[in-house]
Amino acid sequence: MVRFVVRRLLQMVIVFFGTTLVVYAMMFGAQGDPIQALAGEKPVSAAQRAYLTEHFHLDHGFWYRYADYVGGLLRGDLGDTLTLRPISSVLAGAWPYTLKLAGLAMVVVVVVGVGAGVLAGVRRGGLFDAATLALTLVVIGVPVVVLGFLGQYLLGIRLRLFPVANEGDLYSLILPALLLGMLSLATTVRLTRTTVVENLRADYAKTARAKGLSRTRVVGVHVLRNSLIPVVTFLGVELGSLMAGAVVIENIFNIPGVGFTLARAVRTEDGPTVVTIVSLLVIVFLVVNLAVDLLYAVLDPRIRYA
Amino acid sequence: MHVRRATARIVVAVVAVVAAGTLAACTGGPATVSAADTAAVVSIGIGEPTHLIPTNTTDSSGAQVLAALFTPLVTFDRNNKPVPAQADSITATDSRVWTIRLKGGYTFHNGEPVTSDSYLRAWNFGAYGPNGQDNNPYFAKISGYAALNPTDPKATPTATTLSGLRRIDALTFQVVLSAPYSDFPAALGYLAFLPLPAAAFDATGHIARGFEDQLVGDGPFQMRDVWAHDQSIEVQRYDSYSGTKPKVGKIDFKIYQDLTTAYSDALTNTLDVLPGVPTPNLATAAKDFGNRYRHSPSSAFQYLAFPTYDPDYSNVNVRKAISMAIDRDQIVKSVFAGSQIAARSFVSPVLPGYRANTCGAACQYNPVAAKELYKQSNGPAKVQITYNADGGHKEWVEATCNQLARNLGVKCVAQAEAKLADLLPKLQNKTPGVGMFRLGWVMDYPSMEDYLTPLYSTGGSANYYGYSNPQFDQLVAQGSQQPTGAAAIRLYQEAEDLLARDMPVIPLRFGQNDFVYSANVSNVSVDLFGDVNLLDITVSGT
Repeated sequence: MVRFVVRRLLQMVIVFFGTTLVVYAMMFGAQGDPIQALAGEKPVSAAQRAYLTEHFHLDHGFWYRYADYVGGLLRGDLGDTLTLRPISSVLAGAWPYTLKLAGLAMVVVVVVGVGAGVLAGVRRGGLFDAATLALTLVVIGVPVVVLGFLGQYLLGIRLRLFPVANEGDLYSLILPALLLGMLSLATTVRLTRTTVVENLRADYAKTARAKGLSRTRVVGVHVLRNSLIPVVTFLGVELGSLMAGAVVIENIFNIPGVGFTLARAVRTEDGPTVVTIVSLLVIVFLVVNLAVDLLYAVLDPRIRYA
Repeated sequence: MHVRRATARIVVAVVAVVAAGTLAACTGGPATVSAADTAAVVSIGIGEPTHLIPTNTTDSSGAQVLAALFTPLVTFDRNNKPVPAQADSITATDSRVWTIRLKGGYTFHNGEPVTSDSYLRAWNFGAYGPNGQDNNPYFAKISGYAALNPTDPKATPTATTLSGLRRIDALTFQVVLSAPYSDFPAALGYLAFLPLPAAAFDATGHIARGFEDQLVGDGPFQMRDVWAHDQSIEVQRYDSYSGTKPKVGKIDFKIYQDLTTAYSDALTNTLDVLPGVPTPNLATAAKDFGNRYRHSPSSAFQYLAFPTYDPDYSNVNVRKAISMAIDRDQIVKSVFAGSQIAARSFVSPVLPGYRANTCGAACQYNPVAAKELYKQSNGPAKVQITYNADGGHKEWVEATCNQLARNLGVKCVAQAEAKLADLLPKLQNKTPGVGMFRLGWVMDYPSMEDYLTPLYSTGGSANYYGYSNPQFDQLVAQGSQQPTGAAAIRLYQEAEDLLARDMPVIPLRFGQNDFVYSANVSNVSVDLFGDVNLLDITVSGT
């Protein structure tokens, strides 16, 4: 178990540096004049141009700048944004929003998705099953951009059920979290339903029923535990797309999270910020995957890691 | 991005008129400031400011926040002439040596009195090249600027303070310019010339860590909390303020990444004032907000420029023919829903000294005469307009191109560059194949000189068209050396007449501020610079 974790962690280090190199190279290649991009339509003063060029070594080549960046990382210095705020403090402000948003979305996915999936699986062929099938098909077919604006317009502007944009409290995050979770929700429902249906037919479920256990206990304990393995795998991978979806949703709802910061950094050609955020997202992805692998062992004692 | 904009347009098109909002705290009463007003919070939508140190602030969002936190030396009256605000008097004998006397009794929000030193300190910091301040060039007219800004950016300057600044007493100081400049009092209204308290600086003379996030100014409002980046900047009335006191107690500047979201927030009365309506929402703003959708003059000037060094456009008659073939009014109506104004002069109508129609016949739409003149002067068979795709210019540039193609019988290409940042270097290097290009200008302070020098003088900072007329340069230089504004304006106007003759650019449109506000507030006005007037605004019912 320990050896497995250590090996995975070592792999992460390699992946992390690989990612920074690739992303840094891409930003470097795409970059025109970041200082002008920062200033927008106004000319930049010579004094400021000289200052920023010096500060970010913009007059040096790729390898110098990359080495400088990685050197900073190793010293624990994430560097500064082009507006000269430490990236670490920008991220410290942004992460709580994205974590809250993705967390809320995940809760929605797990509670509603697994709940509806089990219900649909148990009452296979019923009205509820058919209804969720139709609904999930529609939701899967709609891109998150459209869902975001549609939800904001219908529930926010039209019905006034939720705030249109982030107001700093948890309540205003509910609508964006719902919309963000919607995509994973649909797939979760379908996946849970299928595995529940399969497991209900399995021998062990029949045995449990024959022993005289109540139906709730059979479904709730025996079937559900086995059905969750593929669902957990899916949700682990899905956390990555929740982060990606956050880029879109956070912009629509004006939530100053990581996705919002990333989108602006891309627009203003803020290389160091983009590289840092993308690399951190990669780390999140890797860690979650590791956690998912470890969860298998908890859900199914037959799985052992050596 | 394109998808999002299109979606937003559809979304807003169906919105019904907003229901009137209510504000429980607002109970009405006499014109004097009531307790209810002090408690009331007004929210204003802005973007995230890049910086808030006055000598480093160049964007409109930052300017709006600084307008709350600081009092400038001068503000501008109804005719956009400077009137002293924190200054008691600004006098000069020959437009070169200016004596500035401050009003006593003003204090910074930390209690420190505002003195000559507050100004000298801030200006010297801004002018010192290695500090990298974006408003650094505004100090270039003051004597001793060159010593602080060596031509080689890596060299260390030979001085740390401007030799042209001299403290006379606690409330008086003297500014010596390197050349006479009659519009200097107007320039003092700009952000770069705000004061800073001693607390702003650390022992090394740099801005103290954390100061920018918790700014201490000398204005009618003080920070209520630290700057919550990307979220909000919250201010409250400064009780010891000795100038005109605002009528509301608190203002929240809410920060938006996307103006469309701010517009939706205003629709649901969550946001009180949005000083700039996003272009996709212009078409429905009147329906959405009724008489709470307003316009006010702004200094923005949109024009089409010629590469005068390019043989295709070097003939002035070709340039005039192209100008005459553009139906400005039609484009204003169809593309901008009347939110901008057709331009037929080279400086903005908000300026003292503006005259309507200085461009003359060359800016009147006359397709027949245009085609004839174009043929006579052997205009090119193919023209091109290059624009930046990041500023929402596609629609009107294409409309203009269609008009040229139809009216002149030429082929016209509307060529996009992804960003203005990509376009400007091409213009700077006179890259061939750019053709005509669109540019815009917003003034820093109301003076004709702030248009004439940067845009049209030889080597002007935004003169990308290679236009150079010694007679023009001389008139502008003479104008700025006049002892009085009126004498200066006469010379500036003569210079403007030369532009009509030479036609280096085609004036197209003057901008307006298009703003909306919620039912919670009244007496909302937006000034020339696009800033909400914070002293006039009230909550509804008072």
